[in-house]
Amino acid sequence: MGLPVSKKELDRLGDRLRDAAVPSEEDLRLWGVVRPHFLAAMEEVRRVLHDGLGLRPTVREKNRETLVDKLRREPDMRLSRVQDIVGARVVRDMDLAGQDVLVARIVSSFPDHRVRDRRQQPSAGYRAVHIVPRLDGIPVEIQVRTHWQDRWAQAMEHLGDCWGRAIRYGGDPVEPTRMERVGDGPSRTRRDWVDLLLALHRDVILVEESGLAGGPRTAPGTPSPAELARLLAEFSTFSPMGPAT
Amino acid sequence: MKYFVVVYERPTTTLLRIREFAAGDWASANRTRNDLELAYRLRPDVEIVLLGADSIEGLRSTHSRYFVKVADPDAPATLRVA
Repeated sequence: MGLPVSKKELDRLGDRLRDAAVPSEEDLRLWGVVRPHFLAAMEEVRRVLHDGLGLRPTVREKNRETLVDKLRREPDMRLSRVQDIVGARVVRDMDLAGQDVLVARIVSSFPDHRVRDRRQQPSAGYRAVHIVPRLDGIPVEIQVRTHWQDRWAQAMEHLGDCWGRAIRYGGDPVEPTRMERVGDGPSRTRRDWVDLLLALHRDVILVEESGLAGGPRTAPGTPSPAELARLLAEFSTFSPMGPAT
Repeated sequence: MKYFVVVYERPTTTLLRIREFAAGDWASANRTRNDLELAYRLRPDVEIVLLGADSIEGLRSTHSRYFVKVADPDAPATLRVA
């Protein structure tokens, strides 16, 4: 398998895609030659997760715009070092110990891999365990999330679509002082809503560490798991153009 | 595993189109994604995304942001062929 271009050629392609306002036809053609190799690696990882481990992953390819955004956001990043051009996501109803067990099962199937535990080092509130196996040198990012981690992450991903992806990386929303209503809540600025969602990730941690799936409040002043689930669902279904369908 | 190509308008969080491919046929999904990227090349607000799952319900679960609002909610999702 492997890639049909050298690491240097791949990095130069990434630089040109990053720097061009509109990518050249030649670069789009070259990217079109490279991409199927990433997809083949993604399919192989999916096969191992599904057929070998009995999991039900979903898989996705990072779209070109998002990839270019990443190269622009992280100026030192080179295309050959991007780990999540293709990836798989495994979401299960499990506690943190169960997540550790699942991660151990997955890594045992991929001899060449790296693990990044984002529960220990959350990135702008995002928590999960990422495993990056390399298949003939091609990285495929496997995101392993509990349901709680996934609920929070999907809420932030959706809000990023509505108010600008910068919020997913600790930045401000577009028009940060604009007033909005999320769910049945009061009117607040976008920045305040983002801060609230960021704060909720701490409540997710409390719920997960307490092992209380649907029980009472984990600590005074914090939402109960049921309230937390409701709040996250409201963020996930917020519609910037009126009621969601 | 079925593959899907999703056309998603980010600012309005609207799923414009989705096309489903036969199990394992990522090569056809790859070609369709290329064609759609070309068609929407002047619309940076529109994401063309290649995804895979056992079913569209699986996708709805793990990638819910693409399904919050659909352009034609009355049509069965897999028939909204791109």
